[in-house]
Amino acid sequence: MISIEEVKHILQLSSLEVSDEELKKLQTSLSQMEEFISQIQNADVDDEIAISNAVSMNELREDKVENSYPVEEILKNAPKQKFNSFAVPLMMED
Amino acid sequence: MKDYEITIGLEVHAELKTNTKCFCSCKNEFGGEPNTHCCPICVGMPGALPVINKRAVELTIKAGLCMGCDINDIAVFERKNYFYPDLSKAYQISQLVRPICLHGGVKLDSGKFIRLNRIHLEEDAGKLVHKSETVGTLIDYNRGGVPLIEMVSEPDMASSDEALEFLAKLRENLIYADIAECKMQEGGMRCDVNVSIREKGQKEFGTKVEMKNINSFKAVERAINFEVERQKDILKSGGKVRQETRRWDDVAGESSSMRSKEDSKDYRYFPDPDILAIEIPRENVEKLRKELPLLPAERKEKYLGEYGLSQYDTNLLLSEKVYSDFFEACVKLYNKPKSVVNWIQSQVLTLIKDEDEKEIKISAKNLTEIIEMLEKKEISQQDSRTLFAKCWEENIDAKEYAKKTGMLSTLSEDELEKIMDEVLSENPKACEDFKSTPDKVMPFFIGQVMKKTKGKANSEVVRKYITEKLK
Amino acid sequence: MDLTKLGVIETAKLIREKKVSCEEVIKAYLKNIEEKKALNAVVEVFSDAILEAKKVDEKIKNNKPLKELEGVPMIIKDNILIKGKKVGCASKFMQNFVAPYDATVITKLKNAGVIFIGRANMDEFAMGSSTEKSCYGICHNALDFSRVPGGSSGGSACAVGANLACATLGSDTGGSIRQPASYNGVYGIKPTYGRVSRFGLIAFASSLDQIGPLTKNLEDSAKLLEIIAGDDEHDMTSSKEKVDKYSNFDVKKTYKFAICDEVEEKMKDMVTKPVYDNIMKKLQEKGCQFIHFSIKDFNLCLPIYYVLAPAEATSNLGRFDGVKYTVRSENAKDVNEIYLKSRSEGFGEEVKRRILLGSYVLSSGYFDAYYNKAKKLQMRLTKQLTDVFKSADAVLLPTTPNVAFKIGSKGDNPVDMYLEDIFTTLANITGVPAISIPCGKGEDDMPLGLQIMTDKFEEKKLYSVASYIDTLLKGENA
Repeated sequence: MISIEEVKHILQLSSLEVSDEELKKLQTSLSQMEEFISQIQNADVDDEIAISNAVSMNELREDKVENSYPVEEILKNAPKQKFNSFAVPLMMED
Repeated sequence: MKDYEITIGLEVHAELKTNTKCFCSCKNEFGGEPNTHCCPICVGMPGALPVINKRAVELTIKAGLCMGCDINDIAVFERKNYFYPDLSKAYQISQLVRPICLHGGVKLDSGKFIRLNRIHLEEDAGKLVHKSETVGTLIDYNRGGVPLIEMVSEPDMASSDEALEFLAKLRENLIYADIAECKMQEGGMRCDVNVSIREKGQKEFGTKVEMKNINSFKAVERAINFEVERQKDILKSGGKVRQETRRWDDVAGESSSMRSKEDSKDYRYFPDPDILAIEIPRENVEKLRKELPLLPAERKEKYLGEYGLSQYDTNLLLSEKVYSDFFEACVKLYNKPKSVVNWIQSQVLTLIKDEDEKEIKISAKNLTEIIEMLEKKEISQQDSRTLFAKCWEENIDAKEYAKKTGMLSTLSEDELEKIMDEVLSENPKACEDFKSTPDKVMPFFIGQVMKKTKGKANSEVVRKYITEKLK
Repeated sequence: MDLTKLGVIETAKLIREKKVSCEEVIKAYLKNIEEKKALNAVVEVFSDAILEAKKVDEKIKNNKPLKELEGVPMIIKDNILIKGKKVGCASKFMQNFVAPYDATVITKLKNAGVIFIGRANMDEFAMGSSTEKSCYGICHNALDFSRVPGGSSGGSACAVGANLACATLGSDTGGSIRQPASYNGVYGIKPTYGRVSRFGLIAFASSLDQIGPLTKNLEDSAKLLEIIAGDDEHDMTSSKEKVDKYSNFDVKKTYKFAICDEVEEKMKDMVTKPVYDNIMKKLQEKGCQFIHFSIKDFNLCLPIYYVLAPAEATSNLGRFDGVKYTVRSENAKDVNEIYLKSRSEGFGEEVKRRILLGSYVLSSGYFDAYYNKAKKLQMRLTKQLTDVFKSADAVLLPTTPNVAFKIGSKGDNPVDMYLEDIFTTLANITGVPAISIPCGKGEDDMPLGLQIMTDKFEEKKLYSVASYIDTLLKGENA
C-alpha cells in the first residue's frame, strides 16, 4: 500500500495535483498498480546491466550548422508569447 | 581562539566551442534575437529526438586529456528530470554513472595537486528574462541545448587563493586547447562553490554549503571569504552550520539562503533511452591527444628549462595565449628563443599591452626575418626598428622591403677589410696617436668604420683587426 | 466494384493504369467515413484530401512519372506529426497544436505518393488497450458497435476493418498495433525496435515504441514497411541494418515453429484455445515441426513492461507543460500553477496514473528495486527469447486472450486492462518483430489474431512465415 504522503510526494515530483476526494481514489489505483509490479522484486538478478546498444563515436553527427526554424514556427503553438519569447507570469529571482 | 581549516570544492561549467548545439544542429552562438537559434529538438517539441554532436564529445575528451583524466571507453547519458521554464524538455540530458572523463586534476604552482572527480558533457538550459509584472518573465531557448562540460573537483582546496588558482589554470587549459572560450561575462564559464570549515585537528569535514550565482573570479574570492566568515561566526557562537544552497549576491557582498526547493530534489535519473551508449575507441583518444597544443604548464617548463628564459619573460609570454602562440611560431622559424622573447617583450608587447583585443600585427615570418638580419648584421639597429614598424602597419615582406629600400646590404670580409684599411690610411695622425692612447683612439676608428659601412660592421672584428694592424 | 474494399497495392495499380481516378478513390473513402462516423475512428478528415487527389489526377493526365503508391489514401494515428496538420494524441491538453514538421515516416510515405486523408482515434498519449480513453470519445469496433476496437491504435485498426482508408499507420509500445489489429480482423505489425524511425512520433516509452502499418492484407503490410523502414539521421536509435524487399515473400515448404511453455499454460483457461490448437494441427499436417521451449521470465513480462513504460513516459510527458505549447490553465497565477493546473486539467486519468507510477519507480529509494531491476530482467528475457531462434524459424502464440471485449466492461482496477497485453509485451520488451494476422473466429463471430515473432531484423522471414500460415488459413475457409 502506497501511503498518502508518498502519493503527495510523487504528485509534486510530477507537477500534478488532485482534489482531496481524488487523492484517496488515486492512492487505491496506484497501490493496485504497485502491487502488480512488485512481482519483479522477488526476481533474482545478480549481474550488472550489460550495455547492449552502443554506437561508436565515429558514427556521430558532424558539427555542421543547419538552418534553425523561423521564430514564428517556434512560437506558433505558444499559449502566450511576447517579444518573440514564450511568456509566463513574472518569476521571483531565486 | 579556535583555528579552523577550510575545505573548498568547485563545480565549474564551461560552454564548449562547437559550431552546433549538443543535441541538434542549431547554431551555438552567444546572443542573437530570442528564439532564432532554435528547432523542435532544443525547444522540446513533441516527437523530437536528440542527436549528439561528435565535436562536443571530442572536446570533452580533450578537456579530460588536458587535466590528466581517464577517458571511459563507454559513456552513458542520463536524464535529470525537473520542472523549470528554462528547461524545455523538463529534463536535462547529462551524465551520471559513466561520464566521459574521470579523475585527473590540476597542479598548483605550490606543487599541491587539486584532484578532479569527473568531467562530463551535458546541455545548457535556456535563458529567463524577468521583465515586469505586466510583461512577465520571457523565455529564450537560444542557449538551450548548448554543450557544456561540467568539471567537478574533489574538496582539495584550502583557501580562496587556491580556488582562484585552480580555476585560472582550468580556464587557461581550456582556452589553450581551443575547447572553450570561458568568457565569464557571457556565461561561458560558471562556477558553483562548496565550502565547509572544521576545527583544526578534526577528522571529519564540516557541513558543506553550496553557493551559486558566482559570475566572476572576484566573486569567487569574495563569496568564499564571506562564507568562511559566516560559518566561523555560526560555530563560534555555538551554532551548527545548516547544509543548504545559498545564492551569492556580489553587489551586496553577501549570500542568502535559496528556497528549500533547491535542497533534496529528486531528479529521478535514468539512462536516456533516445541516446545509445557511446563507444570511445582508444585510437580516437590518441588522435585527440596528438591534436592538443602544449599547455601552459608544459610551456612554462619548456621556457624556463630548455629555452632558459627568465621567470619574468616566461610569465609575460604565458600571460596571454596569443603571446605564447606567437612566440612559439617565431621560435619554430628561428630557433633563438632569447632573441625572440627580447623583441616580443620590448617591441611587440609595448604596442598592445593596453589593448583589449591583443592583436599581433606582425607575422612570425617577418619578425624572425628582422631579428635574423639584425643578428647577422645585415641591417642596422635603427633600420631594424623602422622595418618592424613598417611591418606592423602594412602587410609587406620584410626581406623584400629591406632590399628595396637599401637597408639590406651585406658586408663581406674583403669589403670590410678594404674599408678599415681606408680609414687607417685616411687618418695617419690618429694612427700615430693610437700608439700612445689606444683606448681613446679606438672608438674614433670604430666610429669611422661604422660611418662608412652604415653601421654594418662588427665592432669587435674592427677592434681586433686595427689592433693587429697597428701593432 | 467497391473501391473501398481494395488494398494499397491494388489501388495504386488501378490508379496508375487509369482504370480509376484518384479523386474517385478518395471520394469513396470519404463517403464511407461519413456514413460510418458513429464508429468515431477518424477524428479529423483533412480538408485538402480532395485537392491532393486532384493533383494526382492532373499528374496522370499529363503523363508525368508516378511514384510507387501515387494517390493511395492512408489515415494516420493521432500521435504522428504531419506538418501543418493538427496532432492531438487524443488529449484535450493538445487541442489546436499544429505540427511544425513531418515525421520521418510521413516524409517517406509522401515521397512514395501516399495521400493522407485524416487522423485516427487512439487512447490518450497511447496509454490504453481499448480506445475508450480519448478526448474525442470512444471508438467502436469495426465489426461490432458494442465492442471496443482495442488500443491504443483502435482508430487505426477500425479504419482498416471498416474500409475507411487503404491502410493506416499506428504505433505499438505494448501491443497497441497488434491487439487492435486482432480485434478488427486486420493485419498489424510491430517492426523490430529501431527498424522504423521514431522521429515525429510523440513518444510514450522511447525504448519500446515503434510505428507500424495496419492493413487489409500481408502484401500491403510488407510494401508499406519497406517504404517506412530504414536508418534515420534524426533518430539515434534507428538501425543501420539494410532494409530488405519484404514484399518479395520467400515462402518455404515447411517451417519449424516454437511454442512457449508458459504461453501454453496461460492458454489452458482460454475459451479460444481450440482455434489455436486447430491451427497447430493444420501446420503439423503440412509437415511443420514444433518445438517447445520455456521462457522462465515470461510471467514477468507485464510487470517489467509496467515499470519500464511508465518510467519513460513520465519523463517524456514532462515537456507537456502549458508553457511552450498545449493548453494553459486559465486559473494559473504563477509558473508553478501553470505546471500544476495545466497538466492536471489537461491530462486524462489513465495518463496521470501512469505518469505517477513512472515517477514512483524512478524515485530515489525505488530506482534499484524497480527500474534498474526491470532493465536487468529485460536483458535476461531478451536472451531467453532470442536463443530460441537458433533452433526455430518463428514463435507462434495468440495475440490476445479473447475477442474484443464489450465497451465499458473492464472495471475500475487499472490492472484489469493491463492483462490485455499479456501476449504482446514480450515483443516490445525484447525488441523482436511481431505481426498479428486474422486466424479465426471466437464468441459472436468476432475475429481472433495469431501472433508470429521472428528474430530481430528478420522481417523478411516474418512475412514469409505469415504468408505461409495466412494462405493455409484462407484455403481452409475457402
